[in-house]
Amino acid sequence: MEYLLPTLSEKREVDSLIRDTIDKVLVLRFGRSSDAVCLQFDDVLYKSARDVSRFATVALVDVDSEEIQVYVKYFDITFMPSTVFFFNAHHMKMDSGSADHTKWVGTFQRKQDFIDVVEAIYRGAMKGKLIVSCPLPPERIPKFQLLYKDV
Amino acid sequence: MSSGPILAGWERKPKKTKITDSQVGKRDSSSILKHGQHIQFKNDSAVSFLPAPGDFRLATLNDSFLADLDELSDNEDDLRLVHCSFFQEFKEADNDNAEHMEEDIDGDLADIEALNYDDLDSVSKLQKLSYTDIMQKVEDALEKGSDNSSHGIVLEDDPEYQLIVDCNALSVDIENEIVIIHNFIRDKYRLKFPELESLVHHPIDYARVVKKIGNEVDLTLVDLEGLLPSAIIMVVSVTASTTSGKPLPEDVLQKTVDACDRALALDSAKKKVLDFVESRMGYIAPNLSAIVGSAVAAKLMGTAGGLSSLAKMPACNVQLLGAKRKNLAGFSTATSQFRVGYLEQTEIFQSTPPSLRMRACRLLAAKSTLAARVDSTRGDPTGKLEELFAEIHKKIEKWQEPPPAKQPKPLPVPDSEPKRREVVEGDGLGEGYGMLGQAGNGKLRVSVGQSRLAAKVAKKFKERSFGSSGATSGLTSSLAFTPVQVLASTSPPSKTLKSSVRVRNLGWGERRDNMRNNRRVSKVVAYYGLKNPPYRLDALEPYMSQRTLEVHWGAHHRGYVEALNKQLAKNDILYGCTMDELIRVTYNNGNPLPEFNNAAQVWNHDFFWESMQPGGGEMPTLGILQQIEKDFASFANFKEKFIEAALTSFGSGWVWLVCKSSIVVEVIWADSVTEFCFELINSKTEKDFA
Repeated sequence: MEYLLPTLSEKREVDSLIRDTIDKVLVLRFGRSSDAVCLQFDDVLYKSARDVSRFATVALVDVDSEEIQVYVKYFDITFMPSTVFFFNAHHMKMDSGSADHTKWVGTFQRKQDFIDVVEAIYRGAMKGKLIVSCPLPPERIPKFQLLYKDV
Repeated sequence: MSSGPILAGWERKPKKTKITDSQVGKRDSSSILKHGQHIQFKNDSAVSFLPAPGDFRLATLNDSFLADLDELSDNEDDLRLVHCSFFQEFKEADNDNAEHMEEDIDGDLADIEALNYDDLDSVSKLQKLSYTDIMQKVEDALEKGSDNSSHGIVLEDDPEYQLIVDCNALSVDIENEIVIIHNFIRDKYRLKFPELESLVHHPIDYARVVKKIGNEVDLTLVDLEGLLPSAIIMVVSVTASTTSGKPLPEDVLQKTVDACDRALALDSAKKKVLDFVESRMGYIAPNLSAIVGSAVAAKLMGTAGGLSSLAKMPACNVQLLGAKRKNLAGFSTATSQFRVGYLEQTEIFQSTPPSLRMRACRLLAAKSTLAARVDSTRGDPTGKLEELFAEIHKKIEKWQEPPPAKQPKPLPVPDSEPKRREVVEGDGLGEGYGMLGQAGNGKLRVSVGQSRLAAKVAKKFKERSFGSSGATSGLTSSLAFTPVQVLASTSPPSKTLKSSVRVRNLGWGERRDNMRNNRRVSKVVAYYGLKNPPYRLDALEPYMSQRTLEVHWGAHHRGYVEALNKQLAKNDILYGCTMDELIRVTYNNGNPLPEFNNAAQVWNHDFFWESMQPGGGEMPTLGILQQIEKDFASFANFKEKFIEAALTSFGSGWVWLVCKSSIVVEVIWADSVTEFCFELINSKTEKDFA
């Protein structure tokens, strides 16, 4: 999907994108373009990128690059694909009923789900919140198990 | 009669005019014929209207029009048409002319007749001298080949340029002459085949066809192939078989055929002239010819009367140069092209799809005007403006492109567009709002930040309230949004709260704006005010002491209000409701939300205080009394029951006189404030009866 959505593999690219996206939600997908789930997710992203383009920007971050490992460690990304949301350089959290609020793990079942999530983040951000609740019903939220060290 | 109104050559004057001999004789004396003089003479007069040699004058376009005088009389015998400029041709053949005029019995065009015997190159309209002169030069130049060496001199000084200018004028004259001849032929041939003129319009084609048909009656023997399109040939043949014409007498036929020859000769001469001009066009006006092509450029220049005049014309005129108004009476003009002149013949125009033709024509006219201007000042001899041509082509192609594919629009930014303001029922500051005050809310202030969700919820309830509004008391309002009062505090209970509170309806848009700019606006919290009883606290003595009121109202009622407000502060959704709506919402159809108790208590208490007044009220009147008496047999009975119910109710509670479905009035006591209150709101109260 590199040719369809902007793909970043360098730290400074990610930095500049985060810094320069003003008043729009920045959706950064961390994943590999070879992974099947990632592919499907990217497809959803690509199709909805234009629709949300007025209030969101979508970018893909290749998790296999060395410079990006900094971010992988920072955000504690273990599952692919993981999506981190930013707004005006603030990291936006979302409570989707799972244990991890800092990112969205997994894919979306529908385009509309993705758009709803982005909209919820946007609204929350515009109100000044840093954490929003997920508008999707729990059955459409991908479940995953958080693995803790030693647990 | 010589000075009749001046008409163009093809117009006929039906009047009959005669000249007596004496008049003619008078004319005799003037040996110089002026242009524009109209002469008519009788059959038998020997006229020698022969201008002295040397009296020729240059024919200008104007004058040739003036000279274009036809006069017909209805009387065929007297039919005479003379063009006075005709006489200017006379050089050697004067006598011949006179003779022929004498012979002219049947009313032929004398000049045309004379033409038949004249020098072949002479033309009735044209100055014979200038005509031959020019033609000679033209032919010389054509043989010479193009002489394109760059000239440093100004265009106008160039002798060839002068020739070209003359050629232009000549070609115009030739055209006019052809029209006149065409008219003549038509007139003659009308006796034989009247319908032909309406079938074949073009003068030259007509001449050819006439020549071919001659006096033939059976058109199958005539081969018109190549002269006309086959469809027209067919129509002609068919029409000829049913024509009402009769064969012409021989001499008339001869004259007609000669006239046709004349027309064809003129046509070829014109072609020659135009070819010459065309060949020189690239030299004279390279840019213009690059755009529209040499032929059209030559015509344009000819009609305009020179390159500089062409350059001075505005583009709209250039567009119309050469436009012929060919509207035969009775034919629909719906399909006729709208006013395009010579530009119609350009390659660009022809290659444009019909729908874009008008735009293309305007564009062409504009660009060609520019080119003509450049040419007239000899600005760009290399014809670099040929890129104009390419430019025009590009533009036209662009017009023909399909529109860009419609991509789906991206979604709008959330919350960027303010929603429409809710429609408020009831007049602005009257009933609807007034009810608010009486329903128990002193003031109402809506939290700025929460109204969006409130809108959603309230809209739902508005719908519901619409459904039940018929049955509800006047207490309810159908406002979705409570009007928002923006002022005042309620802590010191003021006296005058019973009157309806004037509130300002903060529209939806404003709320949105407030929300969006929530950093700017301070948080305004909505709450219900503690409404004062409509009398002083000690006014109900001796029945209710002031102390009672102080405790009951001041402490308990206030407590409920504050508790309600506290609860509301936590809960987004319920803001913005009137008291009634709040109660309905919170009752939740039997599953009351926590706010319900407090809200209901507030409401009840308000109602309670309202129901009393100092000095007591009178007996109920009219409807209520009747109803009470119906149900309780008497008012006294009712009172007893009421009191009994109150005293026997367990714990603290309320006793209500309720009108259920407007038929039965009952006294109900209820432990649970809650249920009852709801029911109350849905049923009529005494206010309805009052």
